[in-house]
Amino acid sequence: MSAADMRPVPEPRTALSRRIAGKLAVLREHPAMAASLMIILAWCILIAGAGIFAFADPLRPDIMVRLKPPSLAHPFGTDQLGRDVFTRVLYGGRSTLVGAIAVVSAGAFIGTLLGAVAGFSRRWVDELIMRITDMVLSFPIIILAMAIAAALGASLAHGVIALAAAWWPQYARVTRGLVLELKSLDYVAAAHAAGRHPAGVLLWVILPNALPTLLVMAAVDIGRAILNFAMLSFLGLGARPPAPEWGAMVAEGAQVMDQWWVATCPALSVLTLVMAFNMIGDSIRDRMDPWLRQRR
Amino acid sequence: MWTFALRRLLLLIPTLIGITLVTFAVTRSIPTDPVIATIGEQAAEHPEIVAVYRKTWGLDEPLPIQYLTYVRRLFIGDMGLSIFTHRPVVQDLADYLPATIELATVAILISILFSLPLGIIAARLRGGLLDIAIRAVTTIGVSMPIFWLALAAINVFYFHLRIVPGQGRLDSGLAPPPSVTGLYVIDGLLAGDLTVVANALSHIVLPALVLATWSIGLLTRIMRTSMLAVLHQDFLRTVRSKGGREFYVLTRHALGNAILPVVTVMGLAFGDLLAGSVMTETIFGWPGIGRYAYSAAAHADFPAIMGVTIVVALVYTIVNLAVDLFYAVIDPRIRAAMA
Amino acid sequence: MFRNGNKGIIGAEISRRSLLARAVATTVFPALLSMTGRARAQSAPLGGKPLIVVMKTGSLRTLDPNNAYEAEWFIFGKALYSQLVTLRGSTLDQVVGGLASTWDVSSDGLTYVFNLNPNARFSDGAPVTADDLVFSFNRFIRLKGPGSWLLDGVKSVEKSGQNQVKITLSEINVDFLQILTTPSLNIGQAAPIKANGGSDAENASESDTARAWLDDHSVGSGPFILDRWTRGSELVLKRNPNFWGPPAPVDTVICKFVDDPNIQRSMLLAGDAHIAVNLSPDIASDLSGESTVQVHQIPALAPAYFGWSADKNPALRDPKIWDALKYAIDYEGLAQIYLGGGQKTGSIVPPSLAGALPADQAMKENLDRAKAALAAAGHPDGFTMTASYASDGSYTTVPAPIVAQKVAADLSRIGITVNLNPMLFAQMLTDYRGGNQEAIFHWWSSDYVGWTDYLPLFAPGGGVAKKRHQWDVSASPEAQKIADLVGKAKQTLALDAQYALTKEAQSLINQHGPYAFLFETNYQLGVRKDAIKSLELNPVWYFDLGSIEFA
Repeated sequence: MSAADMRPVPEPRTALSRRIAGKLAVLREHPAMAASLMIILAWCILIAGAGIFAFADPLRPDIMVRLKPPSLAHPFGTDQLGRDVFTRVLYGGRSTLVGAIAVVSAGAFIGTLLGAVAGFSRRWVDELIMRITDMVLSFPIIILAMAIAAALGASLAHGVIALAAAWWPQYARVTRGLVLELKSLDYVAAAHAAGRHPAGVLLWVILPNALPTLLVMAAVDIGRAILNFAMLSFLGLGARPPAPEWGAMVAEGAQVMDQWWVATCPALSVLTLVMAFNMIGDSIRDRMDPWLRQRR
Repeated sequence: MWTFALRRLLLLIPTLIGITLVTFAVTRSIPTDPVIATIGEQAAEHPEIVAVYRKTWGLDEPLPIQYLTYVRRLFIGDMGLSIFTHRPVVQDLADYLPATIELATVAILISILFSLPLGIIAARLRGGLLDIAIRAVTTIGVSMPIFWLALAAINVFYFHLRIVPGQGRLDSGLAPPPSVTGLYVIDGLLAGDLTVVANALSHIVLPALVLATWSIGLLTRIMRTSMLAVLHQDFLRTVRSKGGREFYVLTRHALGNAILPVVTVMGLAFGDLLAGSVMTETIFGWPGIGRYAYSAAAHADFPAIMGVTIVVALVYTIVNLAVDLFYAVIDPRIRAAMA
Repeated sequence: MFRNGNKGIIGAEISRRSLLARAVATTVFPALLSMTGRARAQSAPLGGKPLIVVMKTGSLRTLDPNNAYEAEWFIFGKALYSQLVTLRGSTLDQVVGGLASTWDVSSDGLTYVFNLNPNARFSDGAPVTADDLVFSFNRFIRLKGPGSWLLDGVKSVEKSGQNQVKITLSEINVDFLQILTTPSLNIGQAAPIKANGGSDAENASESDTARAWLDDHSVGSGPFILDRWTRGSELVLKRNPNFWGPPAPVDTVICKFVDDPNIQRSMLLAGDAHIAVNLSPDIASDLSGESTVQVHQIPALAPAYFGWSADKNPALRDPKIWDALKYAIDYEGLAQIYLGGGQKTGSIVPPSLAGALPADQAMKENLDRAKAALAAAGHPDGFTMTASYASDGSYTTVPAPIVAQKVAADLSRIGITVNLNPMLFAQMLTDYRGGNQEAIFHWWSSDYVGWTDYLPLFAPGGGVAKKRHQWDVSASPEAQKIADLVGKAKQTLALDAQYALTKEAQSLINQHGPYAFLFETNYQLGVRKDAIKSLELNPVWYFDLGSIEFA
């Protein structure tokens, strides 16, 4: 280790303004992070304040203006029933975003827990959990979602349950892989040797090191959750029409690709929001790695 | 290590049985009657027609008996008849599975081809313009709604630019090569029919690219993240200080360690590709099991659903076994832990 | 139904009937012969290349001529096999000779005698005999396939002479000849079917094993033979060299299965397809500006409707309130959605069928009347209901979710809140047939070209009305009257009287039934003008492959 690496991390300055200045400096140095935070913030404001920013009724059809291209009156044009696409995108963002976050949270929580236990425990526990994981992973998500929706009825909540049930295995697998890899590292062995309780080693030594990869995965995953909602909505298993939801809007717009705005506007909304989440995920990962922080 | 592999293979059987049980329970809890749904409106009012259907599929037996009958037949390779196509499910799968495997394999190959070098470059040139560009492109890749992309791709590349052919695995009227594997490229090569091979490749390019967009993005990013985590480790410093060339450092030393999470995700990605092929196959008119699975689920076609699930599970488990073995081969510490 | 224009009961008209039948035959054949001349003139249409048709995969399940029954099968059934009688193009009320050149119907309407054309040949050159016909029909009934009920009421099918077949019914069926035009009632060659496991025995549904072989080989007497069926991809037909009629107009036909109408359209415009069958309304209307493509419409005989149960929702138990639902719908607005993919329908019987209520008598929007009905029934502020629709469904080509959302929004104008319940088609159908749906958006597709396939089912006590909407003859005196009218119409052989009864019944159903008939649906076919001059369109088999005129 060189002398440079042994330089201590500077003490945080106590004055609030200076702390804020410090954070802003970080943002200035990471334009991508700043941009994506702004995008997410902008979307959240727009979506939450849909009642203010939107100027049309998202549900009422107006047949006379159906399939009109983007204009001042309708920034995103109108759909097959004459509804303003911009309005529907704003309102639809609610279902999409909330649902996706719910799916990822539930899935990640369950999956990480099971995966960590599997990677860390005895052989048979590991095997059992992994076989269950395999079983659920290999179950085609469509069938699971359709079965749940068929049994319980189609709705946003049931769509979340269906997706979450199919979501956790990937977290379990990756966590287990990471735990397996990390548990053979030297500092873990050192922690063991120092007499730390195995659970403590798992929770406080191994998992924090696994966290960066998992967080990147989770951040990227929100995007994937949104995309999977599109698939469920296409099957009519997500939010019930006429309530807007981005995936369903893309599916409806796919029928009229000539009128590109009907599908493309919600698709681009998905794209920008998901990109923002992905970039944040990158930045979080960079921040959490202590060595990388110093190297900057 | 080989005992490990053997044990995992043997564990396959109870896993599969478990899957059949879960699938059976899940699909039979769907309140859809596939017979009523498949036969016409008027036919459903005719009890003798309905009775014939029920008898053919053993639907008049109690559920546990139906399950046991199914498992018993499974052991001799009989997956029953599809309620929708009226063909043996095994035959349906033999027709449709190779198409998906071909598509998924090409997609994975494209993904690896792009993501490994891109991820390494992005990690090595961290912060640079190339890194940013690569990250931007991969971010777009994982953020794209796939079936919108498929429609747009067809619209642009087929309809407007005419640089790829239209629907299906082959041009209209071109007969498929004699079936050995079901993969047209392989079968065409085996039959020495280069026209078919070229044609099949030209048809597979666009759907595979669309399908791969997401996994290229994901794998590149994971590769980059993983590579970054490894690049700063001390042993590399040692190699560099010994005068090792950069390329050597990256590939021989860093890659080996960085690749583990990538391999895991690749294994997962393969399964995801199989599942996510539904959208792609539907839009590109690709006659694969993604489309078959959706159709089966939509029609509550129990035998087909069971068949698809079992096959997907089989493929998935084998791929994961390969991943785990790969782990052991790459990382001696894990190999030691396994022994 | 063979409409000979004779008024009055059949009785002694039997000889005139057979005369007229022969007259039809003699006019049909010269027409066919002249077509042969035309066919010879264009010996290499499309420059020798195959005709490419794109269509949806749909539920095409088998190519077994005595088992296949799906909407997507009929075009192939017509191309590969012959039927006893058939229809020419879209003239739906004129049955013309197919395999049978003439036929006689007894005065009581229970016995049909068909004289087969002695020139008819199977694709291998063997003559088509009465035995083949008897075998096919018996196999059709006894396989108990999904279409086997079409020959309900047939007591016996027997050979009654060289090239003559007698079919005896147990009850009058005014649409029997129409049923026989369906390309499910095909005549297949008995010998090869039997050689490959086929059977027409009583237990055929268990003992027959010919289906798999028939999925890859055709043994018919139609203008084409089956070359191959690559499932999920394409189906290839080749010209039948031994066809007993005018030769097929093209050597090879490739039917590609493409589910997305966008791509069907792209292939059409790119020249990779000559005919696209399933264009959606917006896509078809966008094509009107293209000079290379012509859009043809053919009524699909599949009207879309909004129906509700008579006793699931407390508010809907009072039939007076049904008017509110019917009059609150913006039917004109719906026309902006279905565009060329639909048209107005008077009632349940599609407007192109004889006996239909004229389209100008269709329900019209009347918000005042709707509100008045609500108030009269004691719900002046409206009520709440649930309606299902198929999330993966469409009314021929009009997407179901759009229609459902529009109607729900229409009803919300007068205070009726419709909670939409999207369901997968298969599941919705199960529920609906079990009589468990409160309200539903659905359609009724034709099994054969006759009003008896529609009206009796929707009349009180009928299969749809009673089991699915809980509307029985006991509901009201009007309901009993409707049922009586329909029952009488089914027995009335005189056409004018028959149709007067059906129209009156439909008018009453419009007023008193738990349905709002939204629109009849159309297929819209896109055809390349530079390749094809004309097609004979038909709602059952889209168009006749054997009679295409190339440019």
